[in-house]
Amino acid sequence: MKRNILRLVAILVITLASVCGCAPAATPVPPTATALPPTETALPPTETPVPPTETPVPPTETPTTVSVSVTDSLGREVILTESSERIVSLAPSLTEILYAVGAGDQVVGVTTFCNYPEEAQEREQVGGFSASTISVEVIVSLRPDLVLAAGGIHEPIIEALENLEFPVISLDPANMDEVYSDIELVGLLTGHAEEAAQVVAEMQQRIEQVEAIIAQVPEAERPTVFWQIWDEPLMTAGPGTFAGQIITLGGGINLFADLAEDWPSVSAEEVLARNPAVIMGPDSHGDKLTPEIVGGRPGWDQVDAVRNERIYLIQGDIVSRAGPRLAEAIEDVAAALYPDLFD
Amino acid sequence: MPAREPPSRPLLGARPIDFGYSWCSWRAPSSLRKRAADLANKTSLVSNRAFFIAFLLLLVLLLVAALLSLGVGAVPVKPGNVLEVLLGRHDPKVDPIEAAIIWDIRLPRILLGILIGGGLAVSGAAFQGLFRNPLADPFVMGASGGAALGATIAITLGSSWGAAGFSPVPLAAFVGSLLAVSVVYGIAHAGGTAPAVALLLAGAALSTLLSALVTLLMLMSDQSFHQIYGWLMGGFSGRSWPHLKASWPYLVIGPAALWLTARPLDALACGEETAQSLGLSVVRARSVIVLMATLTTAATVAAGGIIGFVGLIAPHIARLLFGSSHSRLIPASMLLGGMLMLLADGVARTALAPIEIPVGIVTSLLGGPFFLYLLKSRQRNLGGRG
Repeated sequence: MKRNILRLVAILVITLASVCGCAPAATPVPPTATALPPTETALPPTETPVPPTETPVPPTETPTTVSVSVTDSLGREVILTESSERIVSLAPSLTEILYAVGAGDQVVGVTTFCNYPEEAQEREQVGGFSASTISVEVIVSLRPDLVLAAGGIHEPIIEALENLEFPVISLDPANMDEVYSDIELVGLLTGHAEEAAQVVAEMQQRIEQVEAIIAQVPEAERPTVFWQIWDEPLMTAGPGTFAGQIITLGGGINLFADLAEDWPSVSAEEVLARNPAVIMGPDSHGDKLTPEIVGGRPGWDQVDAVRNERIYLIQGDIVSRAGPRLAEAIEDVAAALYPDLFD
Repeated sequence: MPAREPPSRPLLGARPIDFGYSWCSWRAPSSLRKRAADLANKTSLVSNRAFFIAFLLLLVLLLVAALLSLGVGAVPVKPGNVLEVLLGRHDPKVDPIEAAIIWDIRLPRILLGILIGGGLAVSGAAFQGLFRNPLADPFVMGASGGAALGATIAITLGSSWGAAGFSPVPLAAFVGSLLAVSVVYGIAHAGGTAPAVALLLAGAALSTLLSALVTLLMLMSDQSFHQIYGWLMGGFSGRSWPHLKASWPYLVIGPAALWLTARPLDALACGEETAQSLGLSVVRARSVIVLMATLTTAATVAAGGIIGFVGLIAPHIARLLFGSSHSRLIPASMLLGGMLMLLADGVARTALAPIEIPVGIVTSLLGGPFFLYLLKSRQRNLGGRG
């Protein structure tokens, strides 16, 4: 667990601004203030504005908001509160995290791709995947006290919101540990730190369970997996992507673990020569990834995965979204790779 | 080049032909009819022999290059094994994986590359002649925009229907490009004449519109972004015999038909009025040329995605080497386009192996500098003022 807090260590200062008054010099934050527009206070009297137990809180008389300084995935230092009540999520993965930690009721805006859980679709939609489809106006009209963005693709939006003094933080985890710490951070910022810790613990437990089972299989006997994103051009997932990491965590060996690129087009002859034992892909690939169709490609009938009909579709959403359902993705992959070991 | 050389002397072929672009009608309107008549009478075929020999050499060169590139790829295969596979791939002593690599991946891809390069070059040559515009390429009438939109829709929908041997994405691209060109032609044809300028303008306008739609669809889609982008870049990754089987008829018939329209093209390239005065039915000739060039282009797009540049520069290289008469220009373009594509795809599949580069990037990287060099050294042939 400690390593997971590594990213939380980025939280440089935890202060009761009202008491201490020693907010970082660079950011003259008035007591209890968040970067909210003046029309609304950051202190709605809700049921749990009480600072969570894990943070050292000097006793105070007045109910206050805890300010947290966070360094986000773009290296920005942001002062946020621990009890955001109106949250806009700019990515399906972040929406899933928000709902998983129990902050679903605080979500006021999502994207058109936020389809999980279903309730999320009822929220106001602020735009699509790419920054150019996201409406800053709609975000502003929702008067959020926290906007969660997902890395570099949202930079134009982040900049615009910063200028309007809305608090934005970018979360763009690259591996499981960062997913855990981001979930914990979201829990902290929404007043659901305990639930977040539970979510993380549950994910870790599920993944450890998978690991324990596949530990029976020696490294050398693990199947090679060709993860096919698309057929024309033939695209796969590099080891740095979540798909690549999920293959490994699920007990497989990524056929192209040697490539540095995230989504390389690869040579079909190299795939044949490396002869994958299993071919997998996201279900966005549709019915094009079936034993008949893959085996129907000239030359591919030589591949072990085709011969043994070991071709599987994995739910694309859970593989590509750096959220709580990654554990499910790993279980699915492991179950497909080792049908005998998993029921 | 020294100034003593006449303005448009081809490298090969003895007879200088001042022809090919709109310049010809500006420069010498009075002598134009005679020259066009000469061309239409095929008096320019005096140097047929020189052309024939050069053409044959090029053909042999292409075959040798194709054979050599069979031995090159991401997976090293010994030349002896390549030969063994070609002679008998079901022979028990042949490694089945190597056989599959040579026979099912490299061979169809090389053939497809040559046919597509040739097809693009020929339709580029035809459109350049038809529109008397050196910037014309196979996509000048909106074929690429239509193909891109069709493919994008098919990828986004993720459906698996197909017809005529094409799977959904190629089929949608094929239909899309035919539709786009039909729309352009229909709009330009409103007055019953379909003037070249109207075709060009309608083509440009529709292309812009269609590419905006593609961008919109790409922005609206989430997971398919990489796939669409990969397809739009064009290339032969994942292509094999089915693509070749589905597309070769168009890639053979189209260029052959365009070759047969070489004389009308010669006449049209010197202006519509001139062509008409020579007794050519301009509207009919133009519709046949547009149809054949479009079928060819649509087939290349279906099989290989949108591959730029070859269709623009291969005809220019052919023109610099062999002159502007379309009876030579078209077969020469076909060979040069095929050659260029063969080389480009060879680089695309080996340079960063096992990663593949979209072949369109390579055609531009290789073809661009070569074309600029030719342009610099033979500028007068492109109609410069000497």
